[in-house]
Amino acid sequence: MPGAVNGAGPRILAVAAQLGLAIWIVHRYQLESQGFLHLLILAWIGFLVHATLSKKWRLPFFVGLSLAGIVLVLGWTNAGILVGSGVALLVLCHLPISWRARIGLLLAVVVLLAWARSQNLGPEAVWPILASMFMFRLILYVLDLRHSRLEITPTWSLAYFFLLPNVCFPLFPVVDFKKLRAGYLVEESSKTSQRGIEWIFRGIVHLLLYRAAYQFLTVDPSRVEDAGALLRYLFSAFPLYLKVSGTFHLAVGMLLLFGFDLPATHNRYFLASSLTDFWRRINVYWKDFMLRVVFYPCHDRARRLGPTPALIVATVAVFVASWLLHAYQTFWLTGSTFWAWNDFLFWMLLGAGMVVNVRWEDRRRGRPPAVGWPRWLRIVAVFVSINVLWSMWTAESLGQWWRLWSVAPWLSWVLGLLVAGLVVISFVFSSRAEVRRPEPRAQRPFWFRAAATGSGLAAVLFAGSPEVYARLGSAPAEIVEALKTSRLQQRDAYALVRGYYERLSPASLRNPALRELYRGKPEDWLRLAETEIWRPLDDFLGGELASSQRIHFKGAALSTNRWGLRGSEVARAKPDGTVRIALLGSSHTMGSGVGDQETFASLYEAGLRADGDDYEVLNFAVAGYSVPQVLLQLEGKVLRFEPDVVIKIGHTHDLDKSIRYLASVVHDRRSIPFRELRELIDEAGTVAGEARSVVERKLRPLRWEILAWTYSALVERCHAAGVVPIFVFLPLLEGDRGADIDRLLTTTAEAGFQVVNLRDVYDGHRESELRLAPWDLHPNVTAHRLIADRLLRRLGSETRGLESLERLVDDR
Amino acid sequence: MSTIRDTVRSFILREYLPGVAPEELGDDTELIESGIVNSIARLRLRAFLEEELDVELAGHELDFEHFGTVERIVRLLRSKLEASR
Repeated sequence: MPGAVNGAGPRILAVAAQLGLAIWIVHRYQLESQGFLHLLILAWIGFLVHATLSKKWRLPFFVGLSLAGIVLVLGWTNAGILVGSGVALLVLCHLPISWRARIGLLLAVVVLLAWARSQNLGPEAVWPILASMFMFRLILYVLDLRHSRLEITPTWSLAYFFLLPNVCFPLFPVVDFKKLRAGYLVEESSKTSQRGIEWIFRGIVHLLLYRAAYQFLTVDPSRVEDAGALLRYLFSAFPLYLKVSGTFHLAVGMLLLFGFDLPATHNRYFLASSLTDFWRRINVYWKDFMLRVVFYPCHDRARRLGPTPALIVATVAVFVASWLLHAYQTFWLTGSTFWAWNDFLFWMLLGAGMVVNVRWEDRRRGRPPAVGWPRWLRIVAVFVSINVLWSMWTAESLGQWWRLWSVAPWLSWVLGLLVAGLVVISFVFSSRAEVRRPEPRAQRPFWFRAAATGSGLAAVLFAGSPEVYARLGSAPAEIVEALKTSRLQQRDAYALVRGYYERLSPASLRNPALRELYRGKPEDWLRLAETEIWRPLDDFLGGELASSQRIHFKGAALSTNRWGLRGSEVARAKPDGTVRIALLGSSHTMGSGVGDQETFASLYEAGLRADGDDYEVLNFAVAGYSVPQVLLQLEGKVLRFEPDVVIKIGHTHDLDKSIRYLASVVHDRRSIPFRELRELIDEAGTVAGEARSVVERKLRPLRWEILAWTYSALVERCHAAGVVPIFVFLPLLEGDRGADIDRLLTTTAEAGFQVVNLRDVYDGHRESELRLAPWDLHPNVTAHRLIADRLLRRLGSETRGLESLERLVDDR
Repeated sequence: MSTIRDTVRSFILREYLPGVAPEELGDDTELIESGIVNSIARLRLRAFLEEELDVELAGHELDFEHFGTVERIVRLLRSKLEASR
């Protein structure tokens, strides 16, 4: 072991021990994804092997490890497509033709790929990763092929593009090839690795702070009703960027472990004392990319205008390019572009501020930055300005952000005067203060740093132990519990911050395939429509369960009777003296991943029959059905079974699901069998055949109206057939947004349903006790029992009051 | 070639490190990573060197590979001057 020979063995083991603690924290706090946890474990093993190799073999080993990481997270097929496509792009870069011809060829291929991306051709999970590896690095790479004196070997090319962390961090696209190479193994590897683990620790802290900000700071814009709430709104958007800075720290930290001494990024960016300082601190990699690709080339072309105009032109170009390239990044990661006025205005205002700042900095060259309290005044001024700017950028629209100020218009003056006052005072006093260039901080010894980081990691791990935080009292325990909850986006996604990075973060990428791979889902964990029990139909319904089938679905048996209903055989005609209940819904009600006798439908029926009464519960639910499909199913199938009661099980998810389904119907040019629904969809300005995402965006403002009409129609059909309609609200395991629950309950009650609210059915249980698997949040057997018990209590044969089934049936 | 080195060093010391002892600026002192010469400072340094030494420097040469230390700047300037002879 070369490390042991030169005395570095204990240091390597110390880094490995700290990395072990970091992995434990990632597992305990459910940080990032299951895929990232697996990647980190692979990195830990790889790190130990890497440390034993001679320098000659370290880079090839790193390449092998990175490729293994891609296979581990994406599976063989996706990994093959990803690596094959990447290698093909690399080959194009090195074709023995002129540089111009190569660029032309590359551009043609990129245009072809962009077309394929816009059409969603190829595996959805591969695109964001391929994009993160190539969309910006390819530009830097061809520039280096043209200008750099570096010798480029295939190993270095593969190492550069297929960097180990990228498979889990699509938002880590820009790395400078020359810097990656220049910093490789230049100092004793244990020193670089120790810095790596320190970066990983910082990343963990950033991600925990992000969760704290998300859980405790963010405020729904619809609830901004006074100055306090407005202030909270303004100062809660920027802290969410901690998610991005946290993942950057994790990604760079992983690379440092393997000897790539990359520059520090996101360096205390909350403490920037000017806009240029902010730009240089926040995303150094992006800043350097912009310098090379836009700033200096634009300055070269504008030099004839004179130094100051050239500087202004180059700075403005950087911010226009940043705006366009962020849209370019959105396109490659998600498959669609996103244009909004607040996006444009954010970059332009930041650019304008930078022009002023750059000009000022240029004039006072050589003077060290302010120190002491004047510097702190500037930090506060920059922090306030950035927060306000960021809140605008991340608002749903510029109009929404503008309207928020109407609750306290005076606050804009207060904040404006505060910023101006702080800047003026800091200038007045900093000119009199003694200024000194800060001395570079001496590096602490390895063992001091290892002990400090190790202690920090151990403290975070210790604080996350239920045995520890349970003793701290209910309030601190709740805080730690909240920090350990990873289900953030689903809970509040609808109205909370929908900023640029929120839209692109892996957890919320509109890319179910990648999200499930990150969660560690096995390849045979299929959607219902991918199994042989699914019978596709050409009509509005789209498909149904095939009759008399039995399959293994998500780890459990799923059988259908001759009518294509889940469960045992029943006669179509209702037997005399029997109360027949029809359950309608989607996967939760159908019972995805639990056995035929374990669904709450089956358990509910058994409970009703326990006292000898004749009840039948017919489970009509089909995974994936939206409410409009349920309406058609009711008309065409359910009512023919003469039910006495129809119970529609619903969640807040029905809202989005209905819109998505209708968007696919419009896209596929299928006919909609309900006139009123057709009119609503036409009113939104949709055009048959246009892209799903476009239709979805048009329909979104009408989503509550569409849902209300569909529910009213369900009730109307039931009443016409003499059936009692009941709506049961069943929460999702990942959580529903409170305001949406209230509105859903009101909407269904107004539609004429008897409403039963099971909002607290899972109270007292952890999500991990009730879900099918970490990658599948459908209720498991325990959760189905809880639902059945609660249904029996609220809708049982012996229940007294309004919800007594017998009374409901008798009163109809 | 000590003239080129002196020219580069004296400009950096005068413009960006006022009050700093000349011996503190080594030939291998990191200029960009340490923040001594930021992106705008590099533009000024380029303008100065072009005028002083009658060479032309391209934007892509203002990166750490060419402008990262005094030594690298000197090496770049030497190659430019030799090529122009």
